[in-house]
Amino acid sequence: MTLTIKNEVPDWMGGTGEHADVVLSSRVRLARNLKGYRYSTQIAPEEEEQLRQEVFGVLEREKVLESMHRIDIAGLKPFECSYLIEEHLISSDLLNRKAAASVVVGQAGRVSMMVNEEDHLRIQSIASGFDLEQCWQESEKLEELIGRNLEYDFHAKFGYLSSCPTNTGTGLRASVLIHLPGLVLTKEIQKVLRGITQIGLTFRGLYGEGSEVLGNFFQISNQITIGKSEKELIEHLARITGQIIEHEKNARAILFKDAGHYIQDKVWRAYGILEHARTITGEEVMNLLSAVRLGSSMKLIKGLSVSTINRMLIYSQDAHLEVAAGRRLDSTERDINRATVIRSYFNGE
Amino acid sequence: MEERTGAMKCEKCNENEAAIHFTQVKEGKVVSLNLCHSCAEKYGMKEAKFDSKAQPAFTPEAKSEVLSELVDSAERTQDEKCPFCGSTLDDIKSTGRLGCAQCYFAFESQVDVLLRRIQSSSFHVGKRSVKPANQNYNDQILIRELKKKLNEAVKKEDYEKAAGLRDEIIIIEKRLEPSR
Repeated sequence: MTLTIKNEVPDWMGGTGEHADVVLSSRVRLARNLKGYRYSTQIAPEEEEQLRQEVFGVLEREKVLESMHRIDIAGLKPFECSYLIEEHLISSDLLNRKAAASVVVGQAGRVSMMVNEEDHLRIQSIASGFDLEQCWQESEKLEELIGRNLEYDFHAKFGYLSSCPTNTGTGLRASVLIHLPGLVLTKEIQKVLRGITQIGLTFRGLYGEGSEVLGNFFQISNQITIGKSEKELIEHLARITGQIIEHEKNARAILFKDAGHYIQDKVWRAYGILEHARTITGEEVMNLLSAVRLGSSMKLIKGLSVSTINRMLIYSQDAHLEVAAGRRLDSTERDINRATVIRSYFNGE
Repeated sequence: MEERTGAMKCEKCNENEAAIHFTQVKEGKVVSLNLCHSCAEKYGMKEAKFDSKAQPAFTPEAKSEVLSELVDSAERTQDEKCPFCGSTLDDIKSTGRLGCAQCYFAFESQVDVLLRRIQSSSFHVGKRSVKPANQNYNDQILIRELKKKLNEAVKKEDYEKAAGLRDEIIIIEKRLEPSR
């Protein structure tokens, strides 16, 4: 199976939307399980297959597949799976359930749904910039469409039931992918992160649970899924994110006022390395792009837009390089290809 | 319940003085967990303020460990199995996952305790399933149960619990109103 989505630039990298200079993307996902099927730790392979057929039957009938397309994980090479992870379309967990696992993707990655993940269905919507409301509406639309056809596991008191009790209730995880170089450089970040963990939110690196925080990119999401309505959970995250954006913008202003030369130097050195490097690791790219992104959003760098930098960030990831090459690459090859891809953005502008 | 006198030892390492005390009142019985700072930190609670009112903040990797701890500390009936998938509490404890929807019913009281502990609530107030037919529970049954529990709580003079139950009943009654 070939990856038909590989030439499509995901919508969420667009660098559009509110506060796109700080918030890369917003995301909402809903965990749902279907009545009559056991959950991931107990379900038998043939049950998973039946579940998948039932779900795709509905998508077919409802003509959803005219605007979304199906990718079966079993047909993919390992690096193609990693590519989908880098695009935030699937979780690494989905790969452990290979046989009957699928993902459907629509609207340039704006809406997607994993089938047979830890929960039977994981419906997701991603938007560029700071727009959780839009994500909620998009994901709810698909959730309701399926809910009209198939019955979700629902408990009058506990709400939507989930394989892991940390998702039970609303099944909702809302998150923002946020770039906070100002708060990191002014050493305010620990205070902010400590603060959010005390009010029912949590943070991770760019690629979710357990991933490292690289390049000052943080994912902030709700920790609690029950006891508050979807609207309350989303509004809470949005309100706090608004405050963090404010803090970040203040920090950037202070940095430029008090340490302008230092910041300019940092930004332009990063720019120089990215423009000229012949081999470069993924980690270094992340950190340099973070500096250049700061420079671009502060109008120091005119040539590179935030949207271009977002693309550089994703297209320089390991699996994106491998999909572009059409094969697995060793680490030396990856670092060389990465430098080439990054340089091409400079020549292009 | 025993009175806490002097220094209490941490229940995990049995060495340091317990500094963090979790207490859960469940049907009149007290389930408690007493940890020292360093053991609590292992459960990912290092970011939380160590006062009795602050909610412990769990890091994702600490979650499943906490889950198994809780299943341990909950009252358990040996050999109880989920009638649909056959999961036992031990299975749930080892994976941190429930085996199917029926597990939520078979181990309802344990799940209730667990949710309150890890999520501060076990009461869903959001969106309702658009296909509510054939639910094992409906709101009327739920209200009847909650009222029963409320009476028990009042009898035991557990007013904190009673207040919580009363709030839940109000929410469900409101939810029922438009359909009447």
